[in-house]
Amino acid sequence: MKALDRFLFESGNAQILPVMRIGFAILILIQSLVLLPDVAYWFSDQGVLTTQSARRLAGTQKWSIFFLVEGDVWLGYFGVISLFVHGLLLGLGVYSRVQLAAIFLWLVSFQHRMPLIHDGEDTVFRLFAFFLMFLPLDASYSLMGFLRGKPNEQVAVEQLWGLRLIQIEMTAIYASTFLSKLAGETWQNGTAMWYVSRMNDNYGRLIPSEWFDSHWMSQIGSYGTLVIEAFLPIGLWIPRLRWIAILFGVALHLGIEMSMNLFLFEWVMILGLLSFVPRLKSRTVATRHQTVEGG
Amino acid sequence: MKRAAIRWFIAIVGVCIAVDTIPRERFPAPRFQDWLHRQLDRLGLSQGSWPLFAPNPVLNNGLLVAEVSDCKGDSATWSSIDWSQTDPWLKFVRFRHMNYLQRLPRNSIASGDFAGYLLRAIPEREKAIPGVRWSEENEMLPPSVLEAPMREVRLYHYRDSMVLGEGVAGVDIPLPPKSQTVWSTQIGFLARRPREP
Repeated sequence: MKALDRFLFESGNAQILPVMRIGFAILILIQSLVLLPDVAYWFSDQGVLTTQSARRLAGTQKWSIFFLVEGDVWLGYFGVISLFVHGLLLGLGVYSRVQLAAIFLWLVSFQHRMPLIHDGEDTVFRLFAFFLMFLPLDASYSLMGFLRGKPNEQVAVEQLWGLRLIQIEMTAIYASTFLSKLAGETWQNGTAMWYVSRMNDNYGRLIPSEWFDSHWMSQIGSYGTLVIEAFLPIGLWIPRLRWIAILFGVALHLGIEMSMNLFLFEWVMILGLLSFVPRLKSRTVATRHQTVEGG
Repeated sequence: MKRAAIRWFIAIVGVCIAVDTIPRERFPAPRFQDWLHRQLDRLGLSQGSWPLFAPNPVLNNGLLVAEVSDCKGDSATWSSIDWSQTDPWLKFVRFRHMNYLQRLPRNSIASGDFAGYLLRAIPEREKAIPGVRWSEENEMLPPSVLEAPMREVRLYHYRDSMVLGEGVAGVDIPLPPKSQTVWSTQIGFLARRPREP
């Protein structure tokens, strides 16, 4: 039990909280701005999927604010503008938990109203909005802290257990995709990246698809991806390997970002990896320790 | 007391994440997994799948094409954006449209609704190219202007597949470089939507 308590209540990193809050808020702002011009197209009965059909696709268990009102376009605009405002207030650090609750509500509603435009990255956004609610995100670099006269309030380490939820989620994602890939013959014979580079609709940014014309390049890419995805669920939890795991993870996602158009998926995953960043000791504290030990 | 509640909460959430994330074919009790997934769906906390190009990358290259006829009987063709020819910025800001195009052919309800949308939206909001018309003297006539409302829309999926030789690519047969890749297009019917009287 002591080990569990140490894991949950004595080992979090409060320094990363403002980075996660502001980073997540920026991604939400981008999401809402991209959705805004197409509100009527995606989320109203004038668009491509009626509310009645969306209800049929959602089944009985999924809910959405859009199912309460019959297909009116104003609700879509209200939702997207609300998402933007909540994202902005989250970025500023104004009642972050309230903003995250509202963001969660709207993300679930959008995803259930129009499931065909959402994918894995939206699941990550939705779950992160929920998990981040359990963290004291307003403590530092926030407007609330500034107004209280405590711009960098000290956070008790025991309040940081919510980071563990994000870390568990990230581990599960990497482990799941690694296990799924093991069953695929293209990942086994090293041709998966060659096929990925032929996904003409999604592929095509800084890394040209011709790089994977050679079989050995495709093998490096395919087996390299498998090795990193197998390593991350373990390496991220071992303190001595954590930095290496984070760097490999970030490199993997930046590599995909430079080659494919997957919207914000890579950035929200990098944000999730940042939840593993260990506490950095400030130089003054480290020097004081050395002086005491030396003296 | 508070710590005990947090311990339980994290344990429950952790188990839910693990069970809902494990690939279905590797989980010993798939019916329990399905049940849990439905319960998490009710809370908005389900995981979805994490394929990320697993078990194998799926080539989704293709177009949606609609054959349209207007109230005079003139025909026209509507086509979705060809994403393979689009610049990265447009792919970023219109990423949702690309996702939609790739998923629509697997969903009959959404396909029917989309055909209905085109019926309402052509020619004002969605542009369609009028078909070629010939005179009795076998001369090409200028294209007719589509006149709303549309009489009928037939929606098709033009799916591009790579043509590879016999055997396993990369093992039995060499992988062709991009410039020599041969594509074939399969046309699949998705939906028909006539104008309702």
